[in-house]
Amino acid sequence: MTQSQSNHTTPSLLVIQTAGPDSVAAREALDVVLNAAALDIPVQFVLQGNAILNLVTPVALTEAFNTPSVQKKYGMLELFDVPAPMVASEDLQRFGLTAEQLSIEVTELSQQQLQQQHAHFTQLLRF
Amino acid sequence: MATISLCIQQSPQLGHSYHALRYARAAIANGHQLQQIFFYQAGVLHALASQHNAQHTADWIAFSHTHQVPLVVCHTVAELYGIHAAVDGGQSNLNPAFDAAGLTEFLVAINQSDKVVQFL
Repeated sequence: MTQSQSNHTTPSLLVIQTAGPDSVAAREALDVVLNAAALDIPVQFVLQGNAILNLVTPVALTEAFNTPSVQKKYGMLELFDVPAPMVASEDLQRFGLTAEQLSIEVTELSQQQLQQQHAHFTQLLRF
Repeated sequence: MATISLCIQQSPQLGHSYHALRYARAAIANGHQLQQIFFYQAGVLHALASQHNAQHTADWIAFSHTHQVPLVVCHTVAELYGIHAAVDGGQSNLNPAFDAAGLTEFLVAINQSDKVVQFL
């Protein structure tokens, strides 16, 4: 169970995705972010752990997992004026990646800075 | 008093549903308001008509009726689980106590709530 608390004056949503490309939860997190943006709810997307692999996994691999590629859908974040997703430097290092190798622009922060971001949002959803 | 939305993401066979219901009852007992109970991912299985007599689903329906809290199921995910509302007079296996809606309705509820609590 995860819980968030707010003063209900300026609702804003932080969506944390930890699901990798082998999980339907990856698409569901993205759907939540895009729906929130469509409703003009301020939303920030965070990709943690295996989730950053959604931005590098070849289309053929996601098809092998029997899930449609979501890489093109990540490109819609910019169209909906969603701020660049945040990723942790530690996660990039773990997979031997740099932010430049990802398919979309991201904001790179330390794990500690990412955790501090939680305090800036009134609602939190994790997928 | 706070306004709370719940998101149930596990199947009714798991204990999370029971914990969520206990949380919901405690919230009402403590004077809080529940905006919506949203069933997502495997949680949509609560809305399967054949689950109607299953204890967890029956308890949720009774809770909903007593406290006038809407039970909303994500129709897109429900379809993936083979749960569908009646279309063109066809057979429905969606429990009528649940509203088939989408993420938009959930996000609107979140936007009107002070808290959102997920049961993963």
